[in-house]
Amino acid sequence: MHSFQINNNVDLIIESSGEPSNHASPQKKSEIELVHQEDHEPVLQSNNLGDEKEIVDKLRIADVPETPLLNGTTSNGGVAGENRVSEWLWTLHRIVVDVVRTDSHLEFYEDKRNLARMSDILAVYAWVDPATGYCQGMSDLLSPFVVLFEDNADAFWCFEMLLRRMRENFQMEGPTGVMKQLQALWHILELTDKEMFAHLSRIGAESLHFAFRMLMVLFRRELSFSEALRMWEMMWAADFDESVVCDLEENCLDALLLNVPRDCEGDTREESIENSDGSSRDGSQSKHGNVEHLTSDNTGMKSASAYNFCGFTKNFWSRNDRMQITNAISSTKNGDDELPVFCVAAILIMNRQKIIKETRSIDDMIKIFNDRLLKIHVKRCIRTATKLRKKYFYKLIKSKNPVVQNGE
Amino acid sequence: MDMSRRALLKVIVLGDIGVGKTSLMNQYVYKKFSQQYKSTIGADFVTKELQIDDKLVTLQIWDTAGQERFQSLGSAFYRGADCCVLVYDVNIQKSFETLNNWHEEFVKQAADPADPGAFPFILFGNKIDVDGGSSRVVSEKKAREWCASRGDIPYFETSAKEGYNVHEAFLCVAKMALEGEHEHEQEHEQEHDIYFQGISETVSEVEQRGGCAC
Repeated sequence: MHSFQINNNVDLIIESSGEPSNHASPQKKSEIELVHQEDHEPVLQSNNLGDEKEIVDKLRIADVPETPLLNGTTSNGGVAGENRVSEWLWTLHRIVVDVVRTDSHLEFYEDKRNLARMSDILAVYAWVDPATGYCQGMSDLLSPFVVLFEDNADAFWCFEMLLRRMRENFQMEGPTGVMKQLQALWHILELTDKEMFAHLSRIGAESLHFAFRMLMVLFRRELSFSEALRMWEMMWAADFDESVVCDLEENCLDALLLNVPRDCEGDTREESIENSDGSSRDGSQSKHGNVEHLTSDNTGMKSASAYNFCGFTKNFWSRNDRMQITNAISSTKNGDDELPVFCVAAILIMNRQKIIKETRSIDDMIKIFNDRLLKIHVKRCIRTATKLRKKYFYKLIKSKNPVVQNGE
Repeated sequence: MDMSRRALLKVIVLGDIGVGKTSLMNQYVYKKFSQQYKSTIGADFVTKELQIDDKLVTLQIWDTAGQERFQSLGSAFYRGADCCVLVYDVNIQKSFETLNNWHEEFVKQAADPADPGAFPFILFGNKIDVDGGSSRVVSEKKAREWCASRGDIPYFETSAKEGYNVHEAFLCVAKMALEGEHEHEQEHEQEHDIYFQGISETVSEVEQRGGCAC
């Protein structure tokens, strides 16, 4: 069992920097301190490295692989240990710096206990996934779950599940997932919208870097908090299929797999024996059943979730079913079947006139996206995106095999 | 060079997470400070028109993400840069230590490989207002030593929150960028023509948003 006291992190980070200067406001630190004074005893009072090391060692989880040091300088043992400590403290520092400025306009985060919850969960994630650690952008993805769930464990698992889709973006070697998606986006535009493709080529925007943020934090910065949640819910509903769930199951962090309690494993085994067809992993889905709360817990979401089909007809979904489309062509995992990418394409297309009229360089494109000058109507965006995906695969099949008709 | 043409100077701001890159830029261009800036994902920029001697220039200041793992992306934005601003937080030792890394990476990716020492850098030590200076851990002397070791990089101590020294620091940036620009005029000419096309039509917008003509 992992038995580290998560709330120590807040103490650690404050100790590590000595002063609260890393926060935007000095007040913030004292308020975070208040939190742990209410809930927990302040554990760490000394500022000397030995004590810090002791605390960090206590936090150490035996079954987690060695943390790769950020700078890769593991010259000798003692230094490596010290580096490990200072890297961890640095990670905590960065988490807190970002947490205090994530969705800080929300009343919810005026309560510093909620900020502490966010930083705790990010610290746990950084600990169980040392290859990724903490990376900017994660706090934007986590924040909605902290708002939606009262229980940190629920929020953690939803966040962890989301990162299984997106972990590639946050690893040390850079946001490789997004870079692949941007390439896919370029190809999608080439096949589905000649006019937009030509315009972006003409103004030298082939890198599509203006779409980077949208894909990195899933439209959290381009949309309001509630609109972004609506977008997420609709995207995931539209993309729900068994094969994706199975893929995600396989994508579980090793450290977390080991952590499944014995009795749960027993259940899983029984179920898989019942199935006895080799699909033994299906049983463990119950662990992630929490995801369902997402739709029912928040009143703001009800208008969307009261509808079984996210405001669309059943017919619409079945016509644009992801399985049906992607099965038609053996798509490699290069991002060109992922709905967020098509959503970006849809946003470009829905704002076609403004983009073509007002942009003359990639800088202009970056500006209109960053300053939120584009209209993003969530429902229309998803509708356009799913249709675009269908169109794209149809064109792709046609381009690969001109004899095929009607895509199948 | 055509006198009516406005020079576009591209400036890149680099430094660790939370040292105040976005705040410095916004203080300079919009003269305001907010506690609510979000972390920068990807890259963003602001522009400001100003006059240096008798020359009208447009400063385009690029804000970047402060985490090393996004550096690979940065190179796309570094291209054509005229000056690089390095920022650290005087209250955070580590943000000072990572300057070496930012400096080296930028030189590797953007500076003229034939003469990497010639690229204009400038260092800002930010957040000097915090706790009236009592939480400071990097002394001005240390910072100036570092600057000297990197080929006499100019150094400014700033507070984005209080607007202290921000204007002066960026004015220096603009002057340095402009000097460099003369030397590289030929190289960049073609590239800048593209920018000018866009800018000439958006000047009024820029001025309006910039709020200050200096």
